[in-house]
Amino acid sequence: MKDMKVLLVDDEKEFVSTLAERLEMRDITTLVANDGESALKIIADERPPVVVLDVMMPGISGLNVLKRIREDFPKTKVILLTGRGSTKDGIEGMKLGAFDYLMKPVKLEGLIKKMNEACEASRNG
Amino acid sequence: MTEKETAFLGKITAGMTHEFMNVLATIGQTSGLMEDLLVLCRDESFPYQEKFIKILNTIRTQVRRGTEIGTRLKDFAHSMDEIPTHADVDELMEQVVFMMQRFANLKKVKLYFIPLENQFVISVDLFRIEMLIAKCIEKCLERAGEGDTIRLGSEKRSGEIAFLILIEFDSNADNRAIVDEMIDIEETLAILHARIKPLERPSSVGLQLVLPI
Repeated sequence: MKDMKVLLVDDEKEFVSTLAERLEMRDITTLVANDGESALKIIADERPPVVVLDVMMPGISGLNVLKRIREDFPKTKVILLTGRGSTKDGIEGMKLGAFDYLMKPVKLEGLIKKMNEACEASRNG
Repeated sequence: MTEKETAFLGKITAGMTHEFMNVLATIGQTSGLMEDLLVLCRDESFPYQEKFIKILNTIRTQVRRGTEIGTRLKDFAHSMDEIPTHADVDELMEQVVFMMQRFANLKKVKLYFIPLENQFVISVDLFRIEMLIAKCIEKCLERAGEGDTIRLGSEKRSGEIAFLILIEFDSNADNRAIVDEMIDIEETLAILHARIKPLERPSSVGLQLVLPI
């Protein structure tokens, strides 16, 4: 999808910066945050339609970030990244209003497909 | 081990496995980036290009392998979280077979499980039942030889479930000796009110672990 902008939120810096680089190579404008507070600031400034959010992070947990995004930026669609064996988090996230959840390690093509769907949903309100 | 001790072991193992999986995820993305760059310069050749592609394939395969192992280890660690917990019988058998696969491979014994026809979920002390099934497989591995097969299956019975561990090698083997040797798990059997009995089928011998449900 053209003109897609996405925010990646993960405390694993090498992982998220490499993923961002791969998405940029595919013409997806990618912002990066390494913690929940930074993510919320970036969302307020940049208003990305899609956020890919790791559930397990130090400081504010991914699920608490999700709650705040749903309250303050309801049009933003959130895709959660959970560890395998942590489907409980994914299900909890869906109840809190996540667009969907994917399990790490995530395949790039699968993530892009999900991001496209989320972006479309965000545009359609 | 007390429940607090196993809970501690499980928690630490789960935490460290999670970190390990993050490492694998980073390696996976980094090698993926290298693959992307190779695609970009596919029209230009450089020394050892084919070798690079082969190496990246190896990295991808090993990352996938490491991820599977890490996921299984994390599941094993989480089996110590709650007692009892709900467990799908097929997933339970699959997990134990995976955990014991290395030991079977070392003896060149084929180890596999047969799933039930329909899904069946039981409420169980997952860590202990995994240990008991693994112990049964371990005892059968001691008796099995290169080229033999150990098959794990299960049977639903009224008020109980039986896990059947069969060595397909020698119908004349004395399997009662296997049961007598298993004194080191009597305590765990007692906790679960489970029992182990010899099992005889055509062309195979083994053990059955019977658990009330």
